[in-house]
Amino acid sequence: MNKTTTSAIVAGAITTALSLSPLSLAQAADTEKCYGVAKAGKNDCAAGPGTSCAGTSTTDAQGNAWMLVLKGTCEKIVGGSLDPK
Amino acid sequence: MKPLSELQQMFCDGLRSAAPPSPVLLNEIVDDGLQLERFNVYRNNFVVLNGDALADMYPVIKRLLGAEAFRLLATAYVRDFPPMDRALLLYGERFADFLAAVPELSGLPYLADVARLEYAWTAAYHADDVVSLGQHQIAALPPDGFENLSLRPHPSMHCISSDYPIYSIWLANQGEQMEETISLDEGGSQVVVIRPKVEVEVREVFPGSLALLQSLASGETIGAAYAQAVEMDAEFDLQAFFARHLFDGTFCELQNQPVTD
Repeated sequence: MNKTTTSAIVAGAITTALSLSPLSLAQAADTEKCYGVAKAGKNDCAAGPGTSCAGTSTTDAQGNAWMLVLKGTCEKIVGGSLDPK
Repeated sequence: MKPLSELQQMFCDGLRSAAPPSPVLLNEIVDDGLQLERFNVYRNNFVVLNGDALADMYPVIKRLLGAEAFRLLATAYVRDFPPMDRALLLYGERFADFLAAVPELSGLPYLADVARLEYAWTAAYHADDVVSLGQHQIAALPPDGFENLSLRPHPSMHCISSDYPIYSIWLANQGEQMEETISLDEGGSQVVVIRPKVEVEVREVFPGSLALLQSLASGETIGAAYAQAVEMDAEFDLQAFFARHLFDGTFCELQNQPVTD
């Protein structure tokens, strides 16, 4: 692609983007981060790890035979090299 | 009595180890016959609470593997890579690489990239805020100079290119149930994780969009970044991309450019 074409495409694309909404909107005010934005996959308002500091009554798991206890949604992901031979 | 620093080191080593604590350490604890039990409260909290932090960081990995398998892996990770910061907000940075190196998980080759996506989500959440690019900044400039502008993507942006359909896998594991089956034969996916304003967005994008954003992030001008995007993806449509993302917070305000009201 030659220089003139690139220049024209870039200029056209940006000019189009500019025309899509009125300039008077200028910049919408950025709001503060909201605590209510939940970590994906969770239903509460926690913002990821380290936001709780309670002690635990869970007992440490021992061992490394993790394949023996696999029972999550990974069984619904199939195909590719995982097809049964 | 041992020097404090030595005692602390021994205590830390004892927390990380799966083996019984050394008699030397137990001898330093008040002798009431319950030294081992009381030490184990600390060890259990260390492993479980850091494992809980990891589960908060990686809810989709936990769902993919099941709670029990995740807990076992988390315990191994916590022992191998204990937190190095006092805050756990970004704990688990190496979990994707850790998962990739577990031989028993080689049949789930997409796990590491899904983990990268999840880490990117939380890293984007905690990234700095910036002022977004506004139309008034661009409108003041002559169009024939647009190609020479440098556009800086938002600092929360993470780009992930995977050989596996990680976007579909991630999305399917957001709700309560994962109903559909996903085939790895769908092929790879390119994912941009970014927090343009308030909410973290996970976007599946075309290869050209990813190339454009990565080039811009590395400091290339719009013209040079566009050339790279087209080289990567002949179908890349700059006009459609900018119509959607030029002013939606994907980009920071221009630096060192004339600003007019």
